[in-house]
Amino acid sequence: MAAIRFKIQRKSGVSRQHPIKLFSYTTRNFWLLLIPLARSVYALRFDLSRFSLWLKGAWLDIIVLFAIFAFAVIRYLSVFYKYDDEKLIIKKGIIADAFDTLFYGEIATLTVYQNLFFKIIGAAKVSVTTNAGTFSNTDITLITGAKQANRLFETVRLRSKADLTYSVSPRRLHLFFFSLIFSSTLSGVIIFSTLIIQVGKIIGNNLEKILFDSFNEVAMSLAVGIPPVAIGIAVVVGGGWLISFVANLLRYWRFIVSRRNNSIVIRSGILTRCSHFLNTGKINYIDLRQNFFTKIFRISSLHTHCAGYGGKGRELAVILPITTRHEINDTSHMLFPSYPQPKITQKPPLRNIMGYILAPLVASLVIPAAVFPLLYFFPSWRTAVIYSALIFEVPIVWEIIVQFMAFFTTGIGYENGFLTLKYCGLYSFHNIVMPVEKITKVTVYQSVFQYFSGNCHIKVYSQSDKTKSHYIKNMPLSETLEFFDKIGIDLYFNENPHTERNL
Amino acid sequence: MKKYHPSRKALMFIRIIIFAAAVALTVLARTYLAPYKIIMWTAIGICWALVVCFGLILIPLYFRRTVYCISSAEISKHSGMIYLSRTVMKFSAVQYITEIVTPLSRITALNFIIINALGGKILIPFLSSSDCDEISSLVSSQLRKRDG
Repeated sequence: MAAIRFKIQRKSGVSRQHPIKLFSYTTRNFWLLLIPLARSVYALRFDLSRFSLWLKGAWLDIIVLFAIFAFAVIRYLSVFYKYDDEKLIIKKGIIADAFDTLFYGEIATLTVYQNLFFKIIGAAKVSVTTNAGTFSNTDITLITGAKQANRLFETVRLRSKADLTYSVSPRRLHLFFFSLIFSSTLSGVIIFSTLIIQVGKIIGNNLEKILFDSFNEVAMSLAVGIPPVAIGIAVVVGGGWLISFVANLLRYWRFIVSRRNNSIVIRSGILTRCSHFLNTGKINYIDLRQNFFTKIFRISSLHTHCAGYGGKGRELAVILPITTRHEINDTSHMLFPSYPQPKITQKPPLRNIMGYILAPLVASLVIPAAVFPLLYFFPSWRTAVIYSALIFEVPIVWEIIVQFMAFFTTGIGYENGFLTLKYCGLYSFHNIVMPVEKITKVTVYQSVFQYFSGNCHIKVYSQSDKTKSHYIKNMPLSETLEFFDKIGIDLYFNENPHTERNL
Repeated sequence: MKKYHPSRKALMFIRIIIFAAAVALTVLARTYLAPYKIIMWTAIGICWALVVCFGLILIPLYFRRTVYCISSAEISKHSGMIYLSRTVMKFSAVQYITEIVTPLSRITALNFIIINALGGKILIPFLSSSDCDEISSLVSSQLRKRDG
């Protein structure tokens, strides 16, 4: 009966997910239960008498396994989807049916994701995100056949009426440098640790032990005049960064971005091919991102903030990976024609420079000051203390240099309905261009010292499915209040020179 | 534009709670730290210094400085204890509100409203019951008007 109903539904354009989805409906530990079961069956060597004895002891485990699998099958059979030229409908629910209807105009991002495994089995993952972040994440995720996924993607993409398509594909050398700059040790270490932990769950802790022993041997062999712990840290940092670099390179290779009226399509990746559809009306802001060195060499990368694009795993919300400033300006003008070039009209005055470098300066003095008492009380730890102090001191001194540069580039501006924010977050320089209607909240803070010096910090919150803020330090208070009042955000308190608005 | 202030009843209730906590900590210190006189008196001293600092200076300052303004276009909040802050949220960005009413809130005035928007929220704490109901219905009517 279920098979007949399915056939009828298939004829009317309703489809089920790819059968591989069935396995994601089982519990995470389902496969860990299967392995001892398979081992037991093999050990019995198909001896019927021993088999019945084993069955008497393991019957409950087998029933639980069947129940998990049966529930997964029921869940799989209860999900259907259907799409036409204007909407996507998903039906879910076992006891009560729930229908999600999603009109293409409301989609912020649609992503089709196909890794190597999905390519082999002919499947693809489709993720749909909207801006409706009120009560929960509204991501709709389906695992469909690859052809179905591409058909859905093209249906949504072709819906936008367009005469002109603008495409740009960065040079391979630029992609290489992009991966070089945006790789991080932390993400590489996370990738590696996840792999080891998941493999260890299946084959036991042998691999972990082998790796740990090898790591120790390498650290000891390289420890000529340098403590092994320092070598160990260097190996972890270097190894983690290398893994992250390779992962980024594979993710962003064959990167191409196209603009078609009110949509942007981004495709990238070698082993894992990703296609993203972005509704330009749902883009909250664009961000020209640089670090210290790329700022000196006048190169940057163009990122965007749109619900559903970037943020998952180690995916960056990049529109254009690293390229020269001139090319970025031309490309952003073609991709975002209504967005002005980022220009600032309000900057922090020269007297506020200490507000930028004071905190890291104090920290850079505290560390060497702490070394002396430590050396006095723990003389046997001399080498470890000195090397640890160096490890902590270097990023802090670097932060002083970066914040010094940040002082000269920070500011806010307004042009044609767009707010420009230039600030430095940790080691990264941001040039944000945001439509004023995408501002959710603005907060101006004053510490006790700033109250007397007439300065403030600004936090601008933009529309987002999570809390997203942009922090600009040490701006003059009166100019800031006047600036925001001009763009329709009244932050004045008792000093408000304007008449109050009535309800 | 309508202005609201945190209720003085909430300030009184918080002062009572702080005082009661300080008395309880003093009794505990006298009971369990009696053999260690220096530590005991240091702990008691710090406890009561915090009571004076927060109960008599900082929290009353916060209540005095805090003002909430609600107009048809925006919601603003001016407040601060050590840091002064001014916050404005456009009504067009507001998605929904959450009202938190604690037990005996008519006496304690511990009513809170959280105004949620895409990407941010504003917390309006220590409202009297009447103010809480008024703000809640005001914001709800504005949302209803906006959504047609």
